[in-house]
Amino acid sequence: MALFKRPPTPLSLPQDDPDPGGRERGLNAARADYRYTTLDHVAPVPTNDGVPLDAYPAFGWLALALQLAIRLVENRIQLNLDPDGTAEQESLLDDLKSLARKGERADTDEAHDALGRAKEGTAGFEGGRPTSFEDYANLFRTIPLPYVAEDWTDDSLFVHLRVAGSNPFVLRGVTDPADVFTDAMLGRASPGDRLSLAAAEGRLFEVDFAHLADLERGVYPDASKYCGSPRALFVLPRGRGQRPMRPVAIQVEQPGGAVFTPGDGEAWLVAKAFVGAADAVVQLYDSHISRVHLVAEPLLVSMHRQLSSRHPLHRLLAPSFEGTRFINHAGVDSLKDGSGYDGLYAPTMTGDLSLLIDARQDRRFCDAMFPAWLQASGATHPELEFPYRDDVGLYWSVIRRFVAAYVGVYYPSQEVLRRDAELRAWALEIRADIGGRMPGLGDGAFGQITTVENLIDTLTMTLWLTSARHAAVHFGQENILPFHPAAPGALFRAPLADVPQAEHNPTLDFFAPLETALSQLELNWFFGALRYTRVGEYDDGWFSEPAVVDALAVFQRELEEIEATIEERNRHRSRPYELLLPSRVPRSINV
Amino acid sequence: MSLKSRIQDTLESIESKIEGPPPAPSAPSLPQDDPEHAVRAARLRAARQEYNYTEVDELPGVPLSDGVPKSEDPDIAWWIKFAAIFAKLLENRLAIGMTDDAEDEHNDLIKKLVGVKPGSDTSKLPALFDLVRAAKAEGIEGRPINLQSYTDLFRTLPLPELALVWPHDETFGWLQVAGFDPMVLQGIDAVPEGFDVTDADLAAVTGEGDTLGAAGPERRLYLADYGALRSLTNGVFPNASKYVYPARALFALPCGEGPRVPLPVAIQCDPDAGSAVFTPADGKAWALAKTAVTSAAFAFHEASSHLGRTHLIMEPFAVSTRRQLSDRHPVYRLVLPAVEGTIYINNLALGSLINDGGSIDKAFGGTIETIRGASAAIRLATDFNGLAVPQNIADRKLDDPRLVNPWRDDASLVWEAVADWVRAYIDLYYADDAAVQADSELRAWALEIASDTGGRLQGFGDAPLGAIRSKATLVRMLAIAVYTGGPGHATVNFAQRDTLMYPPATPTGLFRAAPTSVADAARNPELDYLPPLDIALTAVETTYELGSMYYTTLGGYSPGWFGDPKVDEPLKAYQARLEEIEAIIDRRNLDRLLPYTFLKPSLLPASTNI
Repeated sequence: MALFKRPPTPLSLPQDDPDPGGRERGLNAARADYRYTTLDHVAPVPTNDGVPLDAYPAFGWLALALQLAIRLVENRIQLNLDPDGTAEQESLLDDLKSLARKGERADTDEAHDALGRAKEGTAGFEGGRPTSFEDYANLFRTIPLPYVAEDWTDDSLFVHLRVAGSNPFVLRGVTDPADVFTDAMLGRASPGDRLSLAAAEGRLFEVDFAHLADLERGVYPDASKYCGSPRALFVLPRGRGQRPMRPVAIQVEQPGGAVFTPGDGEAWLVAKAFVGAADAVVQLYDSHISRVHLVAEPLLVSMHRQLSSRHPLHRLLAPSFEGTRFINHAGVDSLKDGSGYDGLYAPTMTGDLSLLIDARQDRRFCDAMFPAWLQASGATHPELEFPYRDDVGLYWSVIRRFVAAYVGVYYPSQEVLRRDAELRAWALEIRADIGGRMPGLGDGAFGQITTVENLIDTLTMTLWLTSARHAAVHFGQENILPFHPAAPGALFRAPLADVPQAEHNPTLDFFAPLETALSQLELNWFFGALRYTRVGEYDDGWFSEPAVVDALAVFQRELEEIEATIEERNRHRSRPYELLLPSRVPRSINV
Repeated sequence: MSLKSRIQDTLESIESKIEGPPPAPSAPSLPQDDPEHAVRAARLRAARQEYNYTEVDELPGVPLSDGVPKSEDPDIAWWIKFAAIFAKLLENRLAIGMTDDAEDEHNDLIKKLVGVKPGSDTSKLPALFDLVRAAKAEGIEGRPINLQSYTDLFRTLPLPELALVWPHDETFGWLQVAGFDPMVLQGIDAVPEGFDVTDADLAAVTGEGDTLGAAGPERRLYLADYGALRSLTNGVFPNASKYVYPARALFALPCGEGPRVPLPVAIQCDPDAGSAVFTPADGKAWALAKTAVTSAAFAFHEASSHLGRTHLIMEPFAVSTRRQLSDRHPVYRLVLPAVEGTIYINNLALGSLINDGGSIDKAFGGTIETIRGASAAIRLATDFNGLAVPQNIADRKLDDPRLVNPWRDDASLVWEAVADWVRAYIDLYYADDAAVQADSELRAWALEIASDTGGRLQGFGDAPLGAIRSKATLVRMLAIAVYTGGPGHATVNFAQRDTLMYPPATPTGLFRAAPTSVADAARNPELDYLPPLDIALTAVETTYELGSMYYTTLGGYSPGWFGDPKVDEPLKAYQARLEEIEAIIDRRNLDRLLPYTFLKPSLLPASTNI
């Protein structure tokens, strides 16, 4: 992506460009590469038609990917595949190492080909059923065992994964608890407490996956898979200072399914696993691909189509989209029947994709902005230990200050903004049926951005979504999601009808065969460990306007402060939350 | 240098060279003040050899110039611009993709088109244009797969903003007041008979409790009636059944305070047949009914508002001004720039736009013969006075300030500027009404324009015969002519590129019969009502071609054209006023639903030349 090396031309708004002809030619050229299309399997969610040449990853990204692929293959070799398989993996390892040694001289087609072979994965590994949970940990040979493996059965980890895991977006404050939950259940988690009181005080929370009940369950590749349609209730016990919530009870299937509580032994462990499975399905298809990758997609496609590369907003946004088109293409393309993902998750691929499509169609862009999301979540109790909420909010404010300063430089008045026809077309196209089909963008009748305030919100959302929000949903792939028992995408036995049934259904049988667990490990870890670029960092000279350069310096300093704040918070938290340390948050969605 | 940049450079290099007709030779004078009667008479006799009225079968009864006199040939600057537009069309086709052979051929054509320069022989260009129009775009044929198929027609041509907003009801209302044809909507006191709309239908759009009985007297009901299209016959050319409906649509202003965009309440596609009335509650049937209306509006726009009420209205001014006014006559000098290129373009349209088998024939729902017939009938029935903007607004009851109507607001400004300029100009040459009555050339000119054997222009001049007896009448007639040739035509012409260029929003016709009921609509895919792709591309290219051709600027006369220093002062005032209006419109556009640019003075040519 050499285009990020040096800004090519001075910036101007379309109404001030002394060379409108050249501007139009540039846009026309970009429009040949960036065009909306609708892929059948995710219709009507729009994506770009193909991967333009300038959207392929930069060398830096490829080099990181090669290193990770090497470790992945080494891990695989250590697992002692059958002799043929091992020989094949060793030859692949040699190829990867040789490409890595060549560095920038490596042929990129060969590199992509080798990466593709590495990602194809575990063919040849026939682990079969595990004999103990140790077997899952033993899949990690050269790849480090995730921290969640250590105490994955603990309730404290179960809570941690709701507020600081891979999908902390679904926790909601509860004002009107379902009648399957009783004061008696609550009393065990928060002695003497009552549901009505806890609800009134904003101390009651839940995650609710009722909508999964409608999804058809799959059998790919060769076994029946389940994820329930659970609902889990949590309470913040009375007390002082920020503290973790506690689980109250889980109803595994809705409506009408049995309710389990922490006193239920193995049945409780199984109930938690169903919450984990449902959460994993929603994490990938809804919270991650649909609400992050596929929201970024039209923002970037229309940026290329409607904002000239001379446009100050193109300059601001482009670094936030580095690598996004490439990874979205690969990601959306891989969501097919019989793919690796199909084997990992409980619903059929059609079911998974209906989750993705609905989430993308129904959710309004403005409602996903942090302040609106927080308000709607109702999980605002200040004493609730909710690391995601607290840390991601820091980014929102800091990014907004930077964006406001940037916008102030180029849009000194509302009038200047309303004269900007490229900006209008950008917003209209993102919203339009033949464009990005994104509800809730813009504040004008048709989705135009008509005020400076709305522009700042829209850009803040874009920079925040592509950095912190994506990092929060993605990088659990490094050290949470690779460990199957803690975050199963599917369970392999039907939910328990009651506690005694647990005796007839060994807990281990609910979990995946080892080849599936390995596939989950590899699919997650490879991209979960790939961190390319860093939020707030831009190539030298990318911004040249002095006021912007100053604002950027402030932005970077404030990010350092966030780093320090999170480290300080982590010292007091029941478990550290490291996904949102600015040093670990990339600038763009490139994985 | 790439071909693309050559085209662009050609376009840019000619921006600065636009000129009006060549400077007139001598100081202006009225015939009664000119001692050289004989010279004047001789030159007029010569002009009458060249300029004569005729009629053609295609446009029954419509007076046209008999042939295209040599002096009507366009300026080279016009050719350069027009050729560059065709090059852009080819560039788009190249981007769509074609075989190597065809690509070479297209590149050759583009070279020829962008190679046109001062001194080039232009006589072969029309044939070249026809070649471009006839060339098939590869892979562009048959039915669309989805809406993307239409978007894909725009590779290097700009996808108009309407494509992004058209499905909204608000856009549908907006088009009536700021779209391709703002000349149709009218205020009504009550819903016409046979258009069965209920209070509930109205209230669903305008607010709870609203009634037709209340909305009518409050001037909140508006109608777009395309009944003039009932004379059309549905076509089949080139190879499929097409439909056009004499549809009507009811609009209303929502209850409340402040200016509002009229919103659609109900649509009836075929009133004569007593067809169903659809409302926004009808879902898909409503969407299709709206498409039936926009396709009718497209046909009406071209036949009536565009061809019938600008092009064909201006033709008599082009002919009679040459025939009856000496080139020394001050009115000649005022009128001629407003008809520059009109005879030529009207003739060109007859031969290669509305001709049998031409692009209109191919694209539109009605047969070409009946479209031309409707256009001719509308032209002949038009009262010239109704083209004056204030009169037009009053006739259509559009003066309520609560009605958002960018056309009305901007046209009023431009009209006033034109009328003020014409008045100031006429004051320079006519001291009083007596001077008007003493002007023999002017009398002959007016009588001929109004006459059944001449220009056949209803309402022209003073009754009964059309002579002009007062300065006031003279100013009004000239203001209408100058306005209609320039801004009036521009209003409907240039909007083609922005608001008629996206086929799904404004198809040239329906390609399946309009829905008769909600159940009927449910049975037929929405896409089937839209044109096949080759016809869609024809529509895209034709609207782009016509809507991109800016030649000359209103108020911008070539130096020395008037041959009289007295003109400088009022002319400067006129030009300054146009600049102010430009700024006013720019300012207004900041707060409009979408910008309305079709009456910005910088985008108004002086004449109908495309």
